[in-house]
Amino acid sequence: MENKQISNYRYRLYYSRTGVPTWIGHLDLMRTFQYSCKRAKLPSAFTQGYNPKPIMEFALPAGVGVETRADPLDLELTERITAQEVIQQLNTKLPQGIRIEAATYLEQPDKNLMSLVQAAAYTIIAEKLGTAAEKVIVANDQTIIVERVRKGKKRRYDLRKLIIDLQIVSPNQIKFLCKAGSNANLRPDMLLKALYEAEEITKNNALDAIIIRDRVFLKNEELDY
Amino acid sequence: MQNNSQDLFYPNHVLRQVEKPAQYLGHEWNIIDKSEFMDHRHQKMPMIRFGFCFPDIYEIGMSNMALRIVYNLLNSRADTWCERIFSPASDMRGFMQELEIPLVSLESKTLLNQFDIVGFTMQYEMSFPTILDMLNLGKIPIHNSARSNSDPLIVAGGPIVYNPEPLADFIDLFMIGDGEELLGELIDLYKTWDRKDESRESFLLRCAELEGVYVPWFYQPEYYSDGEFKQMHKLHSTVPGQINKRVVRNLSKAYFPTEPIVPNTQIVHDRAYLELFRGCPRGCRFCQAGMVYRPVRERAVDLLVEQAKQLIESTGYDELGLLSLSTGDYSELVQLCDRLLEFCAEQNVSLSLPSLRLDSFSLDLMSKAAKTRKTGLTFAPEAGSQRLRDIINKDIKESDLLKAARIAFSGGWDRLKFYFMLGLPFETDEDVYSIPELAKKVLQIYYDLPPEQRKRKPQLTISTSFFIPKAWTPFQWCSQIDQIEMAEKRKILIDNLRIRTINYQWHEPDLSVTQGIIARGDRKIGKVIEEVWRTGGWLESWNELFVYERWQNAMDKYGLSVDFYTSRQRSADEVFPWDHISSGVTKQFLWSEYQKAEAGELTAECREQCHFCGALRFNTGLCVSHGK
Repeated sequence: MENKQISNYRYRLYYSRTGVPTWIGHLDLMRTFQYSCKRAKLPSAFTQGYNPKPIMEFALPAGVGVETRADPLDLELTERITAQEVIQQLNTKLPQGIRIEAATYLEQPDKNLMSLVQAAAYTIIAEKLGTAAEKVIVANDQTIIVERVRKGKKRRYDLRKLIIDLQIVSPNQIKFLCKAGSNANLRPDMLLKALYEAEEITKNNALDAIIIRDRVFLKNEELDY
Repeated sequence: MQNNSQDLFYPNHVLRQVEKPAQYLGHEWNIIDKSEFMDHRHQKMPMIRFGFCFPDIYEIGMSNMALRIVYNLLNSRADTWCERIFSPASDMRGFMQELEIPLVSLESKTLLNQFDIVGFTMQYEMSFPTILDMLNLGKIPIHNSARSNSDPLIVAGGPIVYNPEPLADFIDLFMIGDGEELLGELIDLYKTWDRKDESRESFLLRCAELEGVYVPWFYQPEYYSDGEFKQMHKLHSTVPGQINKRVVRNLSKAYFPTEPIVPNTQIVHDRAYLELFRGCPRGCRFCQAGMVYRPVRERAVDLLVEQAKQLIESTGYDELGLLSLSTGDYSELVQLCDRLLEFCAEQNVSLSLPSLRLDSFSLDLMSKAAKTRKTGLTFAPEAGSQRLRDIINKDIKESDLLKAARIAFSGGWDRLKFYFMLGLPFETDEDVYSIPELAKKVLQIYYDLPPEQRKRKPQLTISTSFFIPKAWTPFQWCSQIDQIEMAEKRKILIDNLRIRTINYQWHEPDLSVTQGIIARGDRKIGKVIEEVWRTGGWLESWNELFVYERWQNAMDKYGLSVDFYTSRQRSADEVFPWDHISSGVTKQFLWSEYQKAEAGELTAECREQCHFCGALRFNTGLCVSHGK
């Protein structure tokens, strides 16, 4: 009898995306990672069922048009190889613009990576963005309400409750730390929306912004950005 | 503001406001970038720039086998860089017009008019206005007569090139038949064209000497006063009176790409594909592909298995598809599938079997494929009654159909899809009524199964298209039914398929009539296509963008009658505007097939007996091997 109790080996990877992959949605990003793992011939653990997929879990979906610098992603393998080997194999088979920046083997894997997310740090570059954020967010403590329509339902958010810290880097650049994850999450495009609705930047400049997610913070990680 | 990592060509605010922006950006896995060799352009090694245009949007075009083959084939030459160009979708096209962004290639973002050669693939008639739109967005004059020596050479080929006349005013040269060899010959010839010294016309005249090349510029159609085509005049003594299609004689030795591009976004057919064979041994009388791709030429099993391994390794795809006109007819299908299934199981790849013919359908194969995944099954009986199936030479018995349905249901497939055509020649109301009757019999098969085999409710999809007579088929003489008759026939099905477990899908009558106009159109239809494009039609293959009035108005403007092209029954001796293009099969054979259709006589498939269709002249494939 074969031992059915196969324990997989779990790795935490940190990926960056720039350029073209910035412009794909979360499902397409997962698809791209699936195919890349297969090309890399990683000993992936697969889901059960008729349509087996490599087991992988993303910490926090990145919206279309958001670059990442080190977003966490968990992979399960059926063989124990070094984290360095995972990085090397995968990086030769990922499409241009996606890179594994770091990886660690998880001695005590905690499942459900998504539930560990507590905050995220972003950099946004757009014309007059720093000046506008200074006026609307920093030099002011009123609520910042934006409305978002999702699946036909309107929802209102107070961005101030979601922003933990915000710094003006230059007249065109800000960086900030905000709540992230399944309980409370700030989408950076909502912050831009608040600023162009306040008519402090133009809509076109807001839409032209470069949005970078510098880090995703998991539970027990120091919010140092 | 510039993007800091790569030049994406489009501003971020555009990318943030269009659907699936990555479709415009390139940089996919396995993309071919020869820009590093471009520095030497006019020095050591001039690079021939070939722009492969697919007249539809990215997710459709990237699914296409011809694109995958041509892209990698041309790029396998050191002296050529082939890049891809697709039509933008509505949202992006709006931004391109507003911001004056021209149409560029995905690879190097090169403007279409900067290419040496621009090639369009002709996959379906309704994409013809899109060809004009892409030329225009790419800043190339749409008329071949308006192009100068500084414009790219505009070429076209593909499955529906066998009636090229509707595009004769726009395309410089058509390539008839398989492109694998001809494309290379064209590139070689192109390299001898010194644009400073030799006129476009003189170069085109040399192109016309290549077998399989049709340069419409050198041919002048003549019509009778009632508009009927009379004859084609050659305007130059050296061009051929008849253009013969090109045939790749040994498909196993022909180029096949095992490192296709893997898009960053999901596309319509998102899997790796093997091409098992070209041609079809069956001879269904409505089917243009079945006639023009003769003879049947297969790839060897060993080669296909090797290609499958390479494909999965290079792409990482988790699904492998088999491609051909009737996969069930591959001579060593069982052996091939056994070996592919073994490989697929090891690799966690699912093998997707396309719509197999019912009569060649084996329980064995189905159950093997089911180990990987049970998707829906598709059958194409095409006609509901035996009488009509005999007329169209679709050799499937009702008992075969029901048997296959029983096997499918008891094997756990609860989603079956059946394709039918409405408006086939000699069709009566009884034939139409037989479709819902057949559907009900199929459902009954399910309810007759023992309860333990009926786990889920069955889902039956009945899909009908309207028959469109195509050039180079035995039905090229036939009348196409009009919208009124289409609506009547469709109503019979709607009324008789009101069953919860049956989902009925149909094609749009107006679209089918329009496609019919182009499919048997002459050169005059080019003006209509142009007018439709000028009045706002550009992606007419999309139901939601298609506007029939535009076509009606354009036909009216040029005094052309829709019925003349569609519902008019052609006489036995009518000369067709496509008679000078040869697909290999003879007009006599097609006519005799039409006569047999009227008599309800079947024509046995090629493997059983040669009917001397004309394809024997290619001296290859099934034509040579069937006697052994």
